[in-house]
Amino acid sequence: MMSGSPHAPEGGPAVRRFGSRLRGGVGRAGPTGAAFALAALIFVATALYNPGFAGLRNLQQMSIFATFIGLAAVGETVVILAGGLDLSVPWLMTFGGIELGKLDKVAALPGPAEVLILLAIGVAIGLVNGIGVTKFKVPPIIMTLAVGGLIEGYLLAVGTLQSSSSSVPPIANQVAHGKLGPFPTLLLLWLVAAVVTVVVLRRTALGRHIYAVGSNARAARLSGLRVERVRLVTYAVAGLTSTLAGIVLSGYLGTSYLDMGTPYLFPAIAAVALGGTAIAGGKGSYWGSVAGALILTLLSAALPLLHLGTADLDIVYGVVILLGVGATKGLVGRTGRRHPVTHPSPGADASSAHEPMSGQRERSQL
Amino acid sequence: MSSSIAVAPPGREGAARPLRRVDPAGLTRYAGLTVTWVLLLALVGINIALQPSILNMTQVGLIVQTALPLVFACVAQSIVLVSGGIDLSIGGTLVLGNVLAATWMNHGVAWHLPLIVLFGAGFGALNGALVVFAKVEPFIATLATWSIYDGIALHLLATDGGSTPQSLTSWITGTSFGIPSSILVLAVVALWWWHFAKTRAGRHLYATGSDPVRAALGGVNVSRTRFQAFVLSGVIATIGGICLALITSTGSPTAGSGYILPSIEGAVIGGVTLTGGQGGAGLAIAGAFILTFITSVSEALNLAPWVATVISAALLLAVVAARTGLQHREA
Repeated sequence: MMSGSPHAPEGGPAVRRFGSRLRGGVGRAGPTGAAFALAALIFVATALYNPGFAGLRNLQQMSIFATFIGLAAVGETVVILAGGLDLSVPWLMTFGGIELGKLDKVAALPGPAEVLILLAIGVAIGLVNGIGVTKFKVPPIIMTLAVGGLIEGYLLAVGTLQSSSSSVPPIANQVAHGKLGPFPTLLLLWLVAAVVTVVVLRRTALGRHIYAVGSNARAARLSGLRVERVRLVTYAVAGLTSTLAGIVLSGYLGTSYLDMGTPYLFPAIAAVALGGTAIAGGKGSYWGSVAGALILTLLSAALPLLHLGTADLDIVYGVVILLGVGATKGLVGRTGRRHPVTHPSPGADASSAHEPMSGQRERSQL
Repeated sequence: MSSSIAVAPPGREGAARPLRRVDPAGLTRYAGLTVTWVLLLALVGINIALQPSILNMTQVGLIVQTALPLVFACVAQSIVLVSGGIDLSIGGTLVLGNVLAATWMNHGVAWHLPLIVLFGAGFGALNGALVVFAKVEPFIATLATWSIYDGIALHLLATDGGSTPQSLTSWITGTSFGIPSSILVLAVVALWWWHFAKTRAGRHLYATGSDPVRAALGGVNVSRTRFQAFVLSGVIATIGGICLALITSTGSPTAGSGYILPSIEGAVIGGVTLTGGQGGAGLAIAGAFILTFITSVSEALNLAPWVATVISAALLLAVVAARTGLQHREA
């Protein structure tokens, strides 16, 4: 919670991010520090076992894979922080990949214009999610699941009309395979997205409102926040970043197909959970999700080196999530009392954020 | 538990009613449930109108057989949903039941069938322990165990394969006492739930799901009830996996992921809510059949596969939005 909360007390983000408080125990670094420490541990251990693991090519490769999860997790983090959930991420990713190729074929606009158009459509789909959740009070799981189904139906319907829509326009290819010095363009793209996300969450009114809405919607509403609008924005963000993730994924794969986003349903949520963000909302940070994306990517790259297969990876993923969430719970349990969640309005009753029943209600809204 | 515990009928605030008024099938529990039965009847009607030939025992048995694994998945999901949780590991437990059935049962049914069901209880117990004792959010706990169970299933059976005892396969795809066995299995599940919902454990399940604090004050052991819900879910999903293996007479380590989201979809279309305490396995069975009928109707009409996808998704939204609207008006 310490590094996760926007109201974390003293110390710059860099201090906490690089875990220089490890001397004081992992507990003081908070869940984000613990997640980064775990990522570092996996990396160092594997690199000692197999020095090639720390080679430039492998680092570039892993950073690209982590970017796909990381971008998808931007939206998922923001939505979950505001107390929602987005299951439509994989379908939005597939949509981004397939539709970019199709748009390029049909309209042949300049690359950036095509990408912008698609991102706008992604935002619109995210808004549909948000409207369903806020205006029609459909539970987020149901709303985003149904929108995912509608996207899949649309893609299936149009896919049968144009069988060869799997071409990828040059812009997606260039971004996905480009490099700036030793750094893959995708990594830089992710870095920019991460910094923007963290700054918005920590330093802007919108960010504070997202945390307030997620930790106690009723208190936020009573203190004058427009809860519905804040939630709507989070779903729009998820629409944007998921579509972007799909576009760059199709560029990297050099093709797009109906199931291409499906493998990202689990990692997008798992990265958020591993980063210490509470699934009920209100607590956590995007740096945590970054660490989560790194852990998932490192594991999937390291296990084959230990001659472990997909089956083992599934098991390890599950165990790591449980251990990670368990550790986070322990950390938050110990530090939480010292740094209670504060609310934007001094009038709001901060203690009600921890009132068990309200937490229960919020959670069950999932 | 004493009979003095009062549980308000979900959807209505305030007025405390005695527990015995709990309606197990959930038929009249809150506004909007008629939607479920109208939908189901309409789809049955359309199906019969399109294919009058399905009106015989064999064909009905075949339909039930197709729906059976989904029915088990939805029933399993609905029990956890009623208790106020959610179970994403249903795909994992179902696929473990499936894979274990396809790899073990040829070595002797009498021993291995109960053993697999026991394993299912164990998988559910792990979920329950994580949620109740380790206090991990149900969503995250079962997301993690889903991955773990999937991994174990892949270890047991790397690719589609294995086989099931011929006798059991021909039993479940055949008839017993003159009626298709699949209908019999469905009836057993429905009857079990009808009975279970009226037992003390069943009433505690509803009490816990609708208001855990009031339930605890009324003497319900909320932790135990939640734990039991996950164990039941594990057992039922595992049996669903066994049925799937028997029907297809083979095992598939990847079959499970196709049941996780549909199990939620079916339960919710049927009228089970995600907030707990409302609906029940009877409605989940109805929801599973609604989903199955949408597919069969669009197949009968020779419609493209996307039509069924779009219709189920749109229906899910329409039903949930309609119920929410009705409930808000009632309140």
